[in-house]
Parts: sequence; C-alpha cells; structure tokens
Amino acid sequence: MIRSLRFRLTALYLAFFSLLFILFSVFLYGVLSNALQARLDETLSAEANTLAGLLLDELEEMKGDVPAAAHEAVANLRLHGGLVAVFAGSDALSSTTPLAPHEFDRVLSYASTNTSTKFVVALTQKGKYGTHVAVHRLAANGRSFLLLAAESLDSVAAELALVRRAIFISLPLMLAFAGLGGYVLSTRSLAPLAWMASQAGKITGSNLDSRLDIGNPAEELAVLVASFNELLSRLDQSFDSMRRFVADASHELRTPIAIIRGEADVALSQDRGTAEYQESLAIILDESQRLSHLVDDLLNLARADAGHVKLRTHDFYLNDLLADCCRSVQALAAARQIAVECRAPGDIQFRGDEELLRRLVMNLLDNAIRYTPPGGKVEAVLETFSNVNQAPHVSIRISDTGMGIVPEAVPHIFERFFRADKARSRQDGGFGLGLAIVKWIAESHNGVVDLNTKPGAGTAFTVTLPR
Amino acid sequence: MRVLLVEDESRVAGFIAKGLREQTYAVDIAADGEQALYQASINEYDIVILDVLLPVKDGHAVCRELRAAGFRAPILMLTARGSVDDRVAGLDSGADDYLAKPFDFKELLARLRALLRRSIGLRPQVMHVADLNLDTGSHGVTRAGKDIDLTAKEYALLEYLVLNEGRVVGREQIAQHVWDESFDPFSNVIDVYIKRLRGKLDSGLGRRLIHTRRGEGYILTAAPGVADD
Repeated sequence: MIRSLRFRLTALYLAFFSLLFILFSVFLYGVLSNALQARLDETLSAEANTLAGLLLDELEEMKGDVPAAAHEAVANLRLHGGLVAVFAGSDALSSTTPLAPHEFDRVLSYASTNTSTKFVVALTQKGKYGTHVAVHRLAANGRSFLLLAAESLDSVAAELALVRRAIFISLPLMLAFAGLGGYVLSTRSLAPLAWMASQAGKITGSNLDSRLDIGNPAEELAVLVASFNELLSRLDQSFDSMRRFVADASHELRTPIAIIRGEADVALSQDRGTAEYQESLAIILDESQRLSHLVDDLLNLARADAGHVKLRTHDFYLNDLLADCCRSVQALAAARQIAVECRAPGDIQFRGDEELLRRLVMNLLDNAIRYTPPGGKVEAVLETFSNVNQAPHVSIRISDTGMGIVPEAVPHIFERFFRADKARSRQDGGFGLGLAIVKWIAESHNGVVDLNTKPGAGTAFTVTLPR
Repeated sequence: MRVLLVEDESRVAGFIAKGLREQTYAVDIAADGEQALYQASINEYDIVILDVLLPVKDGHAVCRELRAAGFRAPILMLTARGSVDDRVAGLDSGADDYLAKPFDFKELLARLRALLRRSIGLRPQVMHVADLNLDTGSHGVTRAGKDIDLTAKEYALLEYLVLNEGRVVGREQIAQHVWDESFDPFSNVIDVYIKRLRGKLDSGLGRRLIHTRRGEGYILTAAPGVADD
C-alpha cells in the first residue's frame, strides 16, 4: 500500500494541499486579528479624543474646577458603555466605572517615560483576552491630564473565535476533498501504466511479435511505450535467431541419430554374417564420431554465446601453427589430389589463444579443401603489416581454386548452419558451423574475417588480427 | 510391392533400402527431387517414401508435381523436422502420411503396410485363396494348414499374384511391382521364380493354384475349369 505510486502521489498531494491551506489560514487569521485590533484602537483613540474635547469644554465651563469638570466629561461619555477615565498626573480624577488600584499603573508609567500626545497601550493582564487603552495627553490650566479610553479584547476574541471555528470545521472537509482529488488525479494519470502492465503481462515467448498500444499516450508515457516496444523488438529478434538455431541444430542432430538408430535396428532385425555386422558397426561408429564432433561445435558456440570461453593467451609462433595445420591436412588433400602450399615471411611471434587459432586455421583449410575439385590448389599465406598509419597487425589468407561462392550466399556465409550447397557439404561431413566458429574466434581476438570470391575461380578468406 | 525411396543422405537411404528389401519390398533409390520425378514417370511404384529436405527440388514440390501428374500411389513423407507446421505443409502438398526422423523401423514398416492396405482397396491382413493363407504382416504362408517356407522374393511374387487373384498378370507387370530397377527384362528370372513357387505351393498339396497363360502371363485362382495352356 505504502509502496504504491498512487498512494504516494495522493499522500504528497494531500500534504502539499494541507500545508497550503494551513499557511493560508494562518495568514488570513493574522491579518484579520490585526485589522480588528487596529479598528478597536481607532475607536478608542477617537473616544479619548472626544473625552479630551469634553474636558476642555467642561474646564472652561466649570471655571477651573478640575475634579468637577473631569467628572462631568466622564459622565457625558458613560452612555457609550466603554471605560473612560481622566488622570491628572498619576491621580485618577474620574472614571466611568470604579478603578481598581494600580489598574492603569503600566499606562501611567508608560506616559511618564514618553512624551507623545496620543498612544495606545495593550494591557495583557487585564481581562480575559487583555485590554487596549488609548491615551490622550492634554495640557490645560497649567496641569497635565491623561485621558484614557479602554476596552477589553473580548469582542475581538469572539470574532476571531468564530473565524477559527470556521477554519477548523472546513479543514477536514478541505483535506478530504484534497485527498479525493489527489486519488482521482493519480488514478487517472496512472491508468495507462496499469493498461501497459496488463498488456505486457500477456506477452510470452510465443507472441513476442505483439507490441504495446495505448492509443494516444502522454509524452512521458509515449517514450516509455516506445522504449518498451524497442526492447520487445530486440528480444523478438534474438528469440527468433535462437529458435532458428535450435531448429537447425535439432535437424543436424537428427540425421546422424536416425542413421545410427536405423542402421542398428535393421542390422538386429535378423541373423547376419560377420561382414554385414561389421559394415553396420562401421557406419554407426562413423556417424557417432560425426555426432560428437557436431556436439563439440555446438557446445563451443553456445559457450561463446554465453560468454564463458576465456582466452588462454600466451606467446607462440604463428608461422609454426600454420605449418602444423598444413601438415595435418596434407593427407586429406592428397587423397583429393589437391596441392596445399604454406607461405610465411619468417618467424612471427603472436600473443593469443593458440588452440582456438589452430581451430580457425583448420576450419578454413578444411573448408578450402572440401570445396576445391581434384587437381586444384589451396594456399595458406601469412603476412605482417606495420606502417605508421595503422596499428601493427597480421593476416592469414587461405585461398583455393574451388567453385567459389555465389553472390547471393556471401552475406550468409558466416551464419550458423548455412551451407551454400546443402547436398554436397552434408555428404562431405560439413555442418555449416565451421565458418561461424572462424568468425567467432577471429572476433574474440579483436580481428576480422574478409571474404573475396569469384564463382568458378576460387575463394580467399583473410583473417586480420591486431598484434 | 515396389517402393521409390527418395533420400539424399546415402546412409539413411542405405539402411531403409536394406530393411525394406529384407521385408520383400523392391526398392529404387532417388537421391534428389528431379531424379525422383523421372523415376516415377518411367516405373510403376506402389508407394513412395519421400524425404523433405532434398537437393534440386524439395519434397513438398516433388509431392505436388507427382499429384499434379496424376500419381495415385500413397506417399509417406520422411523428415528431420517434426513441427506441426512442417507436418501440415507435408500433408497439404499431397502426402498421405508423415514420419519424423529418427524413427523406429517397425513403425515405418507398419505405416507402409497401412498405406498399402488402403491404396489397394480395403483388404484384411490375412488373405485367403482356397486353402492358401497369406499373412501380409508376418509374411507367413500356409497351405492346407502346412507352413510354407518362402524366400523374400518368392513371397513378394506370391503376394502380388494373390493381390491380383483371378486376373492375368503379365511378366512386365510382375517386373514392375516385384523387382526393382536392377531387373533385366531379357532374363527369364520371373519364369524361374514362378517355377520355384509352384514347386513349394502346388506339389502334392491338392489343386494347382498358379496357372500359365501363354503369351499373356500368369494367373492365380482357385476357380475350377482353369487349365494351363
């Protein structure tokens, strides 16, 4: 649940929205609270101002009787309901309600340290929510009067409480809406993903040719779909070549097995002479050897595909290897009346996997002899190159005077189980794996194999290896 | 029964031909598609065993061309590829049956027998003519309850005569269905085999079954009133 993307998106959306709402509420509350207090202060200030005006009038009327004038002025404002008071110095001359002792001490001490004629003092201790006092200073008849208008913050607090209540009631509602909205939004934006997943879930090895299709996806999803489909294409291709390889391999394996089984089956079906049994056993032995040769080749290629083959590199002389190989095919070549010629410019030291390179040369020589008619010639030439423009490299060229390769077959010649002439090479014992192995060995030594062929005139394979 | 075996892998062809010949079949081998079509056009075959992967012309093409040319004998396809698609393609190109390599030789023989039974009109495995019994499965022959020991060629000849019971078959016909291509048309080998068969079947075992029609050939029948010319 917590790991689900939809849940996370919803939670994130909710958290963000809550924060936004809370910040906005706090801001609004603060602004409102300030505005209400400012209005209160204004009202109080106006009241103190009025009181000052009244006191001046009464002083004039009462001809200097200060306490009576103060009393009269305060009485005039009593009807307003607020607390007003007149102080002379620190003495309370009159007030609308009886003053508790030291009630306005803070105001008086503030006034004594301050010279401004109008100011507001907040008394936080007085009343439940504190009290604001607006003060006017008035100098008349040679005395200094302080005119106070005070009011508790109860009404402001009541209004703010109303706003707070409204916020607290609407907060869970807002959060619920935000959560729902986030859920709907994330569900909507994740819906194509679910559809893709269900489509992808239906793809198995047997329908790798199908592709994801989500109609008109958003840009980000289109990229995802495209790369997923490309992945599918690549998988499909390698699956396909694997399937073809398995089909070809099973076909190649079945022919010798069919011969071994059939030959034994028929031989055992009745009593025979020794010569007949020998003939059958010779065929069976020969086919078993062919089979194990094929299995070796297949295993090598499979290991190469899986990347398991480690090159056992060491230094050796390539010219010796080439001469060795030529010697070992001499008998086969002589039986077919084919001349084998081996040329090297001298000792050429090389670092590589000797066994694999021997295999490469043997496969090429074998191939050349197999496709050359009697009286032909097979040449193996070793050359080194080292000029300034190129890294030093060595090339092994094996050419024959055989039938050549038809142009249609050239692009496929290194494919596994490909044979330009099926009937012929099967009779000669080839499987169509030799050149695939040659190519793999050359590439494992960072080399390349080139092919130069003229139908009817011969073929030359050139393996170029960096030194 | 004469078989055309079309198989390019000489060793596969070798053991199949050997096994079939030992089972009294006359076998001709064709190594590619064109050769198969040529041989089918000049000889009469009772059945064709056809490999799919062939040089020059593949098995499916050979099959289609044979059928298009009105070839009616059963065709058994043989291949190293045994997937459903391959089997379907083979049967759709006109083959009657399909066998994947490697196979049990017994199965190949059983399928050939089954195909031949169907192609020559439904007939039982054991055929009777008067008191002569011929088992096409075991190749056992009895007359009046007695086992008669025949060589493969003698059996094949007798089987052909029994299949054509009551009909005159010419030497040419016999040569086409009982002997393979190595048969020399100027030899009297058929007459020699007929004589041997008669010796084993008819001597001292009641009525003669094999009769000669001069200038026409031979007839095997139990009907009374058939006399040799």
